[in-house]
Amino acid sequence: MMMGEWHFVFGVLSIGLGVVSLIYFLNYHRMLRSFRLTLESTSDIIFVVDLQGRYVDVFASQENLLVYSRERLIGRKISDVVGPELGSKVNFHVQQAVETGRRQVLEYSLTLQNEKKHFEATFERRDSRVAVVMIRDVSGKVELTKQIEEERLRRIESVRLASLGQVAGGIAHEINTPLAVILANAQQLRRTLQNEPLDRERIEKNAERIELTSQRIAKIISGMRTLARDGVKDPMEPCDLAFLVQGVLDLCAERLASKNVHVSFECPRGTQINGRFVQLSQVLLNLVNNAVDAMDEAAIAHKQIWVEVRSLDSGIEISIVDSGPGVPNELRGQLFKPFFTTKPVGKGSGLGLSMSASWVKDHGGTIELVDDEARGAHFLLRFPTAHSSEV
Amino acid sequence: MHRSEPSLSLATYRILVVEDDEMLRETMVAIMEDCGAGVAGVANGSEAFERLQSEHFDAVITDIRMAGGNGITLIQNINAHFRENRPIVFICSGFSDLDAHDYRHLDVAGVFEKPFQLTDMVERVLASLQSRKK
Repeated sequence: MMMGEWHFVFGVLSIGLGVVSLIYFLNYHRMLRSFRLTLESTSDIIFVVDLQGRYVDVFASQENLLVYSRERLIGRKISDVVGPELGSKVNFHVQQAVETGRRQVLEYSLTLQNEKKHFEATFERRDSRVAVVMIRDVSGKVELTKQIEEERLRRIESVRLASLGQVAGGIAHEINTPLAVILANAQQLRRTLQNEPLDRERIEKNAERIELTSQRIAKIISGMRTLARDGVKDPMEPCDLAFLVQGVLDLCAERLASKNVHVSFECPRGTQINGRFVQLSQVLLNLVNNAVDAMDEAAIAHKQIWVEVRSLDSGIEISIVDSGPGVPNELRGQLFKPFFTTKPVGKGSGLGLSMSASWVKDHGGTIELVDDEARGAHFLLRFPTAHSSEV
Repeated sequence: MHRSEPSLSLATYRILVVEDDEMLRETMVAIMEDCGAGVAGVANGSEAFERLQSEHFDAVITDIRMAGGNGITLIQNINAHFRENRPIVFICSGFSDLDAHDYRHLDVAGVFEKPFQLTDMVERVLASLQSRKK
């Protein structure tokens, strides 16, 4: 090969190198520009972070999304800026991204200018030393999710209180009767005391009636207070079913009597399930209320509810059966879906059964509608047997 | 020992108390008996109507909501069955569940809302019975 040819080759190579550098240079700027474009369109922040947890570079669409200005951030340790807790989380994700090459995601919140902001950070490996952290301000999204969750809780709350509301009128009436007993006996007591010699036997009788009746009112109130509570966070503990079901039936007693509903209740002694007393009571209250409504709606002549508890090897079963018209086949599939109701507008929320179903599921149980042609609607609940604490 | 209030006397009257709450029924019976009346207490409307067909009562005080024969049906039965010797009828009830028009056409002499005043009840029953006697 001639010297001139070598010169030519070198010449071509150096031009090529120059072109590659130029392309690289232009690409870098295009990359930065596209960063900026992304930033402007989605309000993101981008940090380039090294394995030592320092800001290598910072791009922000809005300065107010940064704790310090870009100039003051570069070279600083992240944990010095956002605190050690979030700092160590960021460092961990940077390391993971760099070492594994897999994208990492971290959600966090930060108070900026007295405003709590929520961010979603995506970590991408750039090379063996640094990761690119793309951050989106998701405060709006988080706020929306929070609102939806709050709305859901409010609805559940309103269903819970509505089922209680259905029996509350009856309870007021039920308290008036024992109050009448107390008032009448106190007045009679006063009259008796005006006559000599004192009729001690009668005084004793009046006092006894006042005492027993006060206890009766206390029981009604405590039953109501139990169910008015939000029992979601209660611990799971063994619940005596005879006591639990009787409590619900006592609470409904007045409503059942006024609608002329007869109740039969069978429960083997000492049957227990592990659960939240208040939630389980609310599930039963719902089913009993539904049964009363269904029979009332259909103007059934002989209204009857059967509550049957069975203790089997496979677990505990509770049947709640009514003498109503039952559930038409075409509606069965929708029964436990939220917002499904057969009740008139304004009467049913359509959430009672779906809420009950999810609570029963929380207890490791199931709820279903089973065929019972001889009677009416038959809801069958199955629960695992509680592990007895007795040895 | 003097009596601070005039004694209310229901003597010579027979009264039927219809109330499903046992303790309230016992108390009401005791009150009426204290005032000298002949009193019987029953737990529901059907029992009350059976009793009324075999015995004479001057007044009936009945609850409305009762398991096994409610008070409204009892009053309708009384209205259909009795003429000159119809007992005076009072309602003693939680009342709030009952609209005024529900009992207006039933020809009742009064409604006692639970919890009621004992002396008020005796006075009003007595007044009604005496005004009818005149």
